[in-house]
Amino acid sequence: MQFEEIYNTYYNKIFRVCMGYMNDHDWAQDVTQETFITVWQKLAQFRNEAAIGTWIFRIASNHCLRHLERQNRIPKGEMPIQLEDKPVPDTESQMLFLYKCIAELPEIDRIIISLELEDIKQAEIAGIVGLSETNIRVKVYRIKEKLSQKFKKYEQQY
Amino acid sequence: MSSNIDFKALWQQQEAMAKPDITEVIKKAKNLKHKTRNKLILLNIVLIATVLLYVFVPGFTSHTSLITTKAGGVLVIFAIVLFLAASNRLLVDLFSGKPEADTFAYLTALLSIRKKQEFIQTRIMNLYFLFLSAGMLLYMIEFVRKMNSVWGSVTYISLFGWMAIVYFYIKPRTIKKQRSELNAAIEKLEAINNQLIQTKDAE
Repeated sequence: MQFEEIYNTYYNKIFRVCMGYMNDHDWAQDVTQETFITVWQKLAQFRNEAAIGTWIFRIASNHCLRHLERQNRIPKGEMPIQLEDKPVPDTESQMLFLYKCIAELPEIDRIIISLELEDIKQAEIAGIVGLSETNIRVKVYRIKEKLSQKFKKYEQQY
Repeated sequence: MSSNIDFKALWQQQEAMAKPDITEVIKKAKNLKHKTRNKLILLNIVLIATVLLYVFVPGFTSHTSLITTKAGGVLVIFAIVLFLAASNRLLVDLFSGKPEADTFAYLTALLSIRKKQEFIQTRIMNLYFLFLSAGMLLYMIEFVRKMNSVWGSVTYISLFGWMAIVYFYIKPRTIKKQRSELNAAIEKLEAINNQLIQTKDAE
């Protein structure tokens, strides 16, 4: 696969995973770009031991983790998000709320749920994170439960 | 309503802001590679030049006769070589971290690199300052002896004063700052690593 093809196919996916991790457009864009810089640098070494998607998502997840070393600011997920002025929970504010909730989860959970929502197979997620498929299945179930509960509360406000 | 919320559909609504031009990304990648390499080359050139300077200044020519001058020169060179070796290894280690490894393997490797970095930064810094100061002291003896007592005293007092500032102020502050930054990073990495370990154990 050529770099350009990878870039076009995966840019939005990687951006969303980064957004799920940090819920901040600027940071997510930076980390997405760093991910592609690494992909460009390492592409010649890619030997098809893993699927190209797994390989790229691994790089992205690891860059997200590295990001925490560099920032000492409050994670955006912990900051109150201005949704109150919208009277009805439209899909855009629901989407914002979803990303906010995900960014408040523990780091590994953020990566797992982002990959799950990105429609990556659970076996593949296991290969990206380094956990077993069973672990991933249980985790995904629990995270979705948690998110559903948060959404329930969120909707009760309206 | 919440029971049938389609998280995947909501998730997909997130639009990336304007995708940067691919050539920009490639340019950045190339620049980064050159920058890192140039920095490393520059560091080596500066330090090697310092070593050469010590070798070719009077301390190592026929103008000097005292063993202390030569011993001092050797110690200073040793300090520089130590610093050079340590920082080069550190850089190599940092870049040999495999970002394409799975998260668990990557975190484990990153933690070990960070811990090694702490060792290098504190122990090697101590040794570096020790050899450098001892070397300078010995090296100066011959030249100070040729001065009159007033200038000799001034020279040694300023040298000791400078060393005291480095030892009791600059060095502890540098090490403390580096250590607290590293420890904060290590703590965060360990917390994430524990999330993975606990999940594995729960199976």
